[in-house]
Amino acid sequence: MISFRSFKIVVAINAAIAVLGLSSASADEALVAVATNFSNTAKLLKEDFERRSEHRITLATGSTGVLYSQITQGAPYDLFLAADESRPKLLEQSDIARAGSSFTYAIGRLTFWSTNQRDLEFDTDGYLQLGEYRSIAIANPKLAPYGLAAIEFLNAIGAQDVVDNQIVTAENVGQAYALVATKNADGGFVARSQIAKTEPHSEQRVWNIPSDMHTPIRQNAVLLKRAHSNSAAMAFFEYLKSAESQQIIFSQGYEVE
Amino acid sequence: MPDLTPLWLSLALAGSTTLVLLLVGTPIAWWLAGTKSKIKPVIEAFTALPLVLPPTVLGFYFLILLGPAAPIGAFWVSITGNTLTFSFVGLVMASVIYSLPFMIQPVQNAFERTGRKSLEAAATLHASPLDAFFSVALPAARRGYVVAAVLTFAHTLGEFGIVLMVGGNIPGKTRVLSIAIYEHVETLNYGDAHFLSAGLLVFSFFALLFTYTFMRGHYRHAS
Repeated sequence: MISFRSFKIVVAINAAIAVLGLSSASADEALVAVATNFSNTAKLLKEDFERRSEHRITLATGSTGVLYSQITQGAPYDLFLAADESRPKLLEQSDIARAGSSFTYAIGRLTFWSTNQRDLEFDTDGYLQLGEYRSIAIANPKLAPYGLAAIEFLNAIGAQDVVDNQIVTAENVGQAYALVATKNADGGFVARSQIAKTEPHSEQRVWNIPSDMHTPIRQNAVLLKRAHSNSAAMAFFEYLKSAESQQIIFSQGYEVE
Repeated sequence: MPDLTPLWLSLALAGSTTLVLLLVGTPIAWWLAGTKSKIKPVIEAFTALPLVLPPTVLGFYFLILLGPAAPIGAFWVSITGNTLTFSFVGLVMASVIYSLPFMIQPVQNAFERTGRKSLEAAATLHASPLDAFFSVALPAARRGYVVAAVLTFAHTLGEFGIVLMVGGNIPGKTRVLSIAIYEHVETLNYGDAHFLSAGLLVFSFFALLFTYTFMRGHYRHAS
């Protein structure tokens, strides 16, 4: 039981801290939902942000579709860094996110990645080459924009056979990456950011899909309404728009506006 | 009315797994029931592992073991041209491990209850060990087998995590019931999710109800 005297002391100390601008009350925590393809980059942003601020960020990753449905069911996220622009807009429309807060924090690049030793000669003949693969991993196009972009690309090059017979569907790009990394799939469509850091390797082939061969993967962030009084969420949301964060995002294989 | 292909696929997977486990589980359960070996607890612990390990652990190891870089996976690729992962056969193999304890434990208990005495009696009547097994031990353990088969079947129907990791969600091949439900929920297709979920719920309840009723009858019968 705190006596009235010690209570007064605590109040006085708190007031002093507040005046000095060191108040612990101003250091907030935010829970940020992050699309899987962006998770490594988000970790770097979190580190950079926490060096500059006393706020703390916790990241939760999943496929955009999964995170979206969690949010519509009241999941306690403050920010949503999606892999598309439609779901953040939907959250604005359904009044779960703050209207007008959605913005593009990164533009994703789709990459075909293979550990198969076969030489990759992609271009207009890409379809024939892909036909030699047993299995090609993509993220579930219903849930993950990179999966949808992969399907669009395959349709654009007329590889309907590949779509029908060789596609294996992963839960998200992280799992698609794992299926290729463990050689269970011969190749897969992943985010360029996922392999930006992998060492060049004689056994692996990487091909960045021309960005005009699928709908641009505009990744939007949105501020969720429950974060209205969370200064950590506000600060991190503003930080995402800063030149510093955009530089980090660019360095990880994304394009920025 | 949702697409029912995942339902048939799940039933085929559960049925195949149960059949394989009846064959694979019997000698293991038989050995465990009769042995006085020091390594018995080791084998018992090993076969019970799937009860406690998260499906992600099993799924991760299966991804590696069934993959073309591992001997089993490479062998499969050399004879079929396809990988074991993303295939129905691969799912059966994973399910056999996943449901192993549900087969072993009831059958082992049944063998242990039968005891050695009736087998020794059979031996004094000049029955060969194999004959004694088939004409004495196996019939005596039939209730254990029924319970084991129902539990194995139902448990395999409920498999999710491993299939999610090694299945590849291929319609008609690896998109089983639980995966289809998951996808329906995540794409906000709640009507279909309800339909399939309620069906599985009702089936699972009756499978367990049958098992418990049956076991109660068994113990009353035994005592």
